Amino acid sequence: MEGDTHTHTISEDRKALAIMAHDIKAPLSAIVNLLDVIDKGYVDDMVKARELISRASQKAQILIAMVDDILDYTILSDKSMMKTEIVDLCENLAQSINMMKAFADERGISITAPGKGLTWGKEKKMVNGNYTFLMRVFNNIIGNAIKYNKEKGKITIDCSEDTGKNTISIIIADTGIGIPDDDMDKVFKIFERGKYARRNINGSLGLGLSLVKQIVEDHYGKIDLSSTVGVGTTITVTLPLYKEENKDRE
Amino acid sequence: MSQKILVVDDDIDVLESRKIVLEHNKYDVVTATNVKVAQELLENEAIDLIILDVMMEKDSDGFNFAQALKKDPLYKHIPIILATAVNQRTKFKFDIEKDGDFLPVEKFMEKPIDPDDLIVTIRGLLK
Repeated sequence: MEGDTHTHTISEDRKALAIMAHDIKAPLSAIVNLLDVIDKGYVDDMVKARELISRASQKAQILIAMVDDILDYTILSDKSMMKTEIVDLCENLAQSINMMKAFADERGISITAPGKGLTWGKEKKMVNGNYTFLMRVFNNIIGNAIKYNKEKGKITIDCSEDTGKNTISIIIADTGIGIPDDDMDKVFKIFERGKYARRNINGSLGLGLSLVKQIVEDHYGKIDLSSTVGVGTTITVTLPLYKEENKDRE
Repeated sequence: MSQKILVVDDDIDVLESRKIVLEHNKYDVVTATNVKVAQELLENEAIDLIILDVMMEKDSDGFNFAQALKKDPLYKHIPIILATAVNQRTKFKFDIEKDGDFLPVEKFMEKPIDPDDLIVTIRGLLK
């Protein structure tokens, strides 16, 4: 078939770029469509025109998030560009939950965070890292837990500390659609979204979880994933706690 | 009686803007965000033309749907405009002359589709 011939002439790198170009062009085209109908006089009603502009603006925000992903990915490919400091992970996670709460409320998803020691502000859990990128880790994981959750689903966030290994684990569990076994090894790969995560509708380049993995590993941590289709997904982020004697690692 | 156009695209903002343009030009419009709904609409409505997005749930949803329709005696007469975001700038080059046997749709249009161009194209196909 001629279409197959076209496809097979492209290298994998170019294919990845073509996917990224498509995923950026799709919302961009929608923005142009929304504005064109106003610009070319197809809409007389001012209320309708405002609604279309608002929708175009929301699409533009999605594009900005995509470009941020690309920029972050670029920065992460060069560790010297990432500045670190001593970060209170409890405060970082609390900030992330607050940021994502409106998004969760919009979709009727509840977030509970019993978090022993993470009951905001009572006990600090310090790690050596980049505040913004660590926030990105939680935002991306919680964001996915919202996007791929069921209607009126739940997200539970907990933590556990391993005093022997001097690590802290943040466990984020959702009651979402889950990830099929075949897709488990794909979710952390660049540009992969898995067949259950539909193209386009969530405005994702498929960089989200690959960024999360990269950030966690750059913080000498690890990320674990368990999932059951139709039941939900649990992602555990484990990071080394900061102690004075760990200073050498900085 | 107005002619009826089926618009298939997984982006509701694209569907909305197409609907506004088409209704402004006195066409009846039905919309679908996936090929399953599109198929149901085809079975229940008298559709005169289809505007079909290429990439939806799967990369090739639009292609596969167009190919199936063009092989079906019930629907092969319906003109299809295939809206694509990948185009001449990539190796995915679509050309009616060249790719007509592979995918016999009536027209490829590159996204974003200019509303005025879309209307001119539809008028040409439905005359």
